[in-house]
Amino acid sequence: MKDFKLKFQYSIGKLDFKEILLEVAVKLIDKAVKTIPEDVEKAIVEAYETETSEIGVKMLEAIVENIRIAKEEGRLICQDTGIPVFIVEEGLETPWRADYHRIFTEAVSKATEAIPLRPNVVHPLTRMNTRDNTGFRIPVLHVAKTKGSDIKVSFMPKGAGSENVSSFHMLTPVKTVETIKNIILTRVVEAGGMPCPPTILGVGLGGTSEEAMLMAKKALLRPIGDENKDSEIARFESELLEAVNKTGIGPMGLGGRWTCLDVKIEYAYCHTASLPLAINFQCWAARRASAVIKPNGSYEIS
Amino acid sequence: MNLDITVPVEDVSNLKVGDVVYITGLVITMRDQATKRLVTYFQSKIKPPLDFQGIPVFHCGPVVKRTDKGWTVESLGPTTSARMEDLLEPFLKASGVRIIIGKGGFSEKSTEIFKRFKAVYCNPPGGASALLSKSVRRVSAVYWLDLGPPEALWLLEVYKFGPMVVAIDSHGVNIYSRVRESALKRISKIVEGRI
Ligand code: SF4
Repeated sequence: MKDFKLKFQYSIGKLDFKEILLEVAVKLIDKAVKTIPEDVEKAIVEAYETETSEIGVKMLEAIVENIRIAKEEGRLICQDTGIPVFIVEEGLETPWRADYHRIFTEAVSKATEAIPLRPNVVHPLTRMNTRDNTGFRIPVLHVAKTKGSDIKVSFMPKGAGSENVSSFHMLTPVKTVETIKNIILTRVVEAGGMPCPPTILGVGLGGTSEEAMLMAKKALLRPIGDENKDSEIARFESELLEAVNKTGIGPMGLGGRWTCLDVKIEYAYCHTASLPLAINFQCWAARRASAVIKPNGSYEIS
Repeated sequence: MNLDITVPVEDVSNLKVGDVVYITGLVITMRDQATKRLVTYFQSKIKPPLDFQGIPVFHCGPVVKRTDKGWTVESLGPTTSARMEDLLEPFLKASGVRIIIGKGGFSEKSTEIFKRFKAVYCNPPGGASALLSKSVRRVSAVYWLDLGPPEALWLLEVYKFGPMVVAIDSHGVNIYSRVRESALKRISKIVEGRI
């Protein structure tokens, strides 16, 4: 017990973990809303160069231009700065402890005023706006324990356009790969231009209903081009990507070759009687930023 | 075709699906709550705070900042218009608006409404707010701030606002439904590996 107490601390010497975490969270928010990750930018430029529809080219050209302006002038990538989602992977060996939710709430509130962010957060029934993007259970926070001594904090401002077309399907186990494909393609076509295509699709397969949705969201943290470690799943990812891009929905749903930049699947084993399938859409403005905090309090943002 | 449009504009019948347009003049932002309130106003014969005739309506919730000199627009871009689809007909009928700007468009059932009211729908690239906000010159007025800044009506002076693709025109053509229908037909063929 004594050992346990020594191991986990809010501060070591002059280092105050609360301060570090607050600083990290504010920096992550600022970075995420003004730049898009390199892998996403590369994929968009590639789409622009290879798009076949004239309207599609026009849209992608404007998006490429938009990314440049946002970066150069420190402007927001998209005016919908989303709902704040934090995903924490806490190493079992880390010496640090913190009240994540309280600190991230403070960071979101500060960033909303300083950047500024659009005040998006409201009560679900009264629609009363809190004006600082925080609220009961907001920011959304998922914490999981992992191996090692680092803490990885990821931030994802999730826009409504793409979140609103996300879906969950409880399939029967006899359903085949074709059924899964069919459902995903149908959802993509129904969504049309709403999630600002070209999109990235996060797919959660198996587990339970809530686990599938969470896997679909977490899948979106993986960079474009990164394949699932399971070779069968990796094959399905590229098969789905190819299939989605055959629909012709195109940039902004106005028709064209590029409907989707990548498909990411995360999976879990599931009950013999069920087959959960979750789809989380991410728009081309696939904003995310992560930081790894070391045991000595230093951190690196990517 | 690339077209520069100066508003107010009354006749948009020259605009065809696929045209790329840039707007100079005034636009007014509007989304869920304001659209709802406005339609209620029209139905109860209450005068709205401004005359919409000839002014493009932009489905958008901007990020704004209050400075010593007044309001500035930090960031703006189109929001999903489908959420306003149920109110489209009463809105077009009472407001006299001829250009709606947004993203995602409307379904096939609304194509005929655009035709009947001789209106068009323009789609700027969704999410491209850094690019689009550069063309905002000034906040001319704001109404209904009680709805919260993103939901309020912002009357903006813009210069060469675009690019926007005419996606539903006044001649009964709707790109979204055309793209969607052809995609729906393809799904089974894609799944079966026939294309
Ligand atoms: S879907 Fe994404 S890119 Fe489009 S407006 Fe919403 S947050 Fe922005």
